Formats: sequence, structure tokens, C-alpha cells
Amino acid sequence: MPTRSTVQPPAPDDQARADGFHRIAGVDEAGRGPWAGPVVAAAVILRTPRLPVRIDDSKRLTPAQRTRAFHVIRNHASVGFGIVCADEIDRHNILQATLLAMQQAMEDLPVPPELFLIDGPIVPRSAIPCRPVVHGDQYSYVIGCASIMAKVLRDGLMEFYHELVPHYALNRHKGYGTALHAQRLRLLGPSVFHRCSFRPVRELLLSE
Amino acid sequence: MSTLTDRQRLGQRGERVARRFLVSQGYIIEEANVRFPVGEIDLIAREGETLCFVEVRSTASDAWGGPLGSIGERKRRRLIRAARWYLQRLRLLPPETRFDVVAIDWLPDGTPSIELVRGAFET
Repeated sequence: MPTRSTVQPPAPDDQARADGFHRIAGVDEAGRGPWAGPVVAAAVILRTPRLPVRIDDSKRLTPAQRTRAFHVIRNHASVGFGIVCADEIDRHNILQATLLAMQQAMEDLPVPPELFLIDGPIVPRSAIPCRPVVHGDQYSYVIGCASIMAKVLRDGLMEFYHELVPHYALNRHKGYGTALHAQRLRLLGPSVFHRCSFRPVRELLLSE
Repeated sequence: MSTLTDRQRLGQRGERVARRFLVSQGYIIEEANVRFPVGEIDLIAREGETLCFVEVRSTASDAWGGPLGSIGERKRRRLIRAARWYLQRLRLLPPETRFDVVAIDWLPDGTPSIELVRGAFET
């Protein structure tokens, strides 16, 4: 009787090393879904294989854990960032804007890697080889690091934008679609940080 | 000397009447006749915790469809834009906001008949 194999496929990072790549960069993005704020991408090349801090998909860490991890990663890695703001998202579309942010983050690295591991099914244009890793923020350590860097930088930017347009409570929902955000958007109309091309935003503003 | 048209004079008289009426209803007037690049608001007033943007309509008759009928889509948009402009520049958002309309109908003997519609329309 055949038994189901319990052998796990190797993590994308180990697979890449087994394939002979040494300097591997993880790339991930934060802020694809929200109604306001930029989409932020990060690219990370680790100088040590494991870090003395909990690394996981950024969504599974608390804000305090993420911030601590952010500083540890910054001290043990080369990091590049890409930021594509709301009006660029409106001009292109969110997929193109996300790929653009990733490309910027990849080019922002101080030294190029031999291979990029990119979160998601689609890979931006690059002269350096890229591998897409679906759910990479969960399965790949280095993509997990990139997801933390992107998320913490984006949250920090939203805190800053909140100072500029305080009535939208961007510091609380970080631009995501919440009841509070919807109420403020209906009351005040869009700010320069809003993605007016997003359907929920458009529909809230239609009443104007 | 005055260069106001009859219509403007009627409007001014209407605004004075509306203002007195709102005060008698317990409103606290904050601003009158505010003009912004995106539109203008006749009266901004507080009723309790609620900040009210008040449009005053002075008509000589019901021919225009009553107090609400005379506010077209364009006027409504301008009011909302002006209100947003004002709110964006406040240091603190009021807990509630509302659009009210005061409609004044002038009776043949010159006395005003006043109607207040709270929450006449939504943003």
C-alpha cells in the first residue's frame, strides 16, 4: 500500500543555495490593498543566514515585534526600498505600480545579488535572474525579512502622512478600508494620498 | 447708495431673518457668508455637538418646488465641496455634521414664513 510522502519540499532559500546561488535577495511589497498611501517594496540580502529575532510573514507579527525585527534586519542585511505613491497608482494600475516599486527596491540595493526571490506569482523585469515564490512571505526566510521591512516603512510613512492630513485617521487604519476611514472619506472627500481609481474610494466619492 | 439688485436685497434680508431664527432655535452661529474657491456657505452654526452647514433660500413663492426643490445637483455639489474645504482646515473635526436648509417664503404683507429642514441632504 502506498504511503503518502512526508518529505517537505526544500524552502525556496535552501533550493536557491542548492542551485549554486550565494547572494540571494528576497523581495516583497506592502500596501497593495489600501485606499490610501503608497505601495512600498523592499529587497533584502542577508549577511547572516539566521537572525536573532523572530522572522515571519509580517502579517503574523505584532507591530512591536515587526519594529524590533526591522532594526535587527537593517543591522544584518543590505536593504533597498521602492515607494510608488497614490497618484502613480491611479495613473498606471496597482499591479504595474507594485512591480515598479519592486523594481525600484531591487535597483536600490547597494550591491546586486545573484538571484532575486520575489513574493507572488509575477516577477518584475530584471537583468538579474528572478524566481517567483507564491506565498513567499510564509515559506522563504529572506522574503519574510523583506515583507517586514516594507511593512514597517509603509506604516511609518502613514504616520507621517497622518500629520499632514490628520482628519482621515491614517495613523489608525494605515489607509486600509475600515468603517472609520469610509466615514471620513465621505465627510471630507479625498486627500492627495487617496487612490481615487480604487472602486470603493470612487463609490464613496460618487455621492459628491 | 446701493447697487444691489432686488434679488440680492431679498437674499440679504432672508439671511438676517434666517440667522435670527436659528439663534432662537438654539443654534450658535459660527460663520456667515463664507466664500471658498470651491463654493460658498450662507451660515455655519452649531446645534449642540453638531456642526451645521446652512443654506438659506429666499423665495417669493413655492413655484420653485419648495425649499429642497430649489437646490439643484450643482448647488448641492458646491455646498458639499465648500463644507469639505472648511472641515479640512479645522483643527478638530466636530463629532457630527449636517446640512440644513432654511427656506423663507415672503407673504404678501412682507412678513417671512420660515421653514427649517435639518439634514436636508447627505454628503
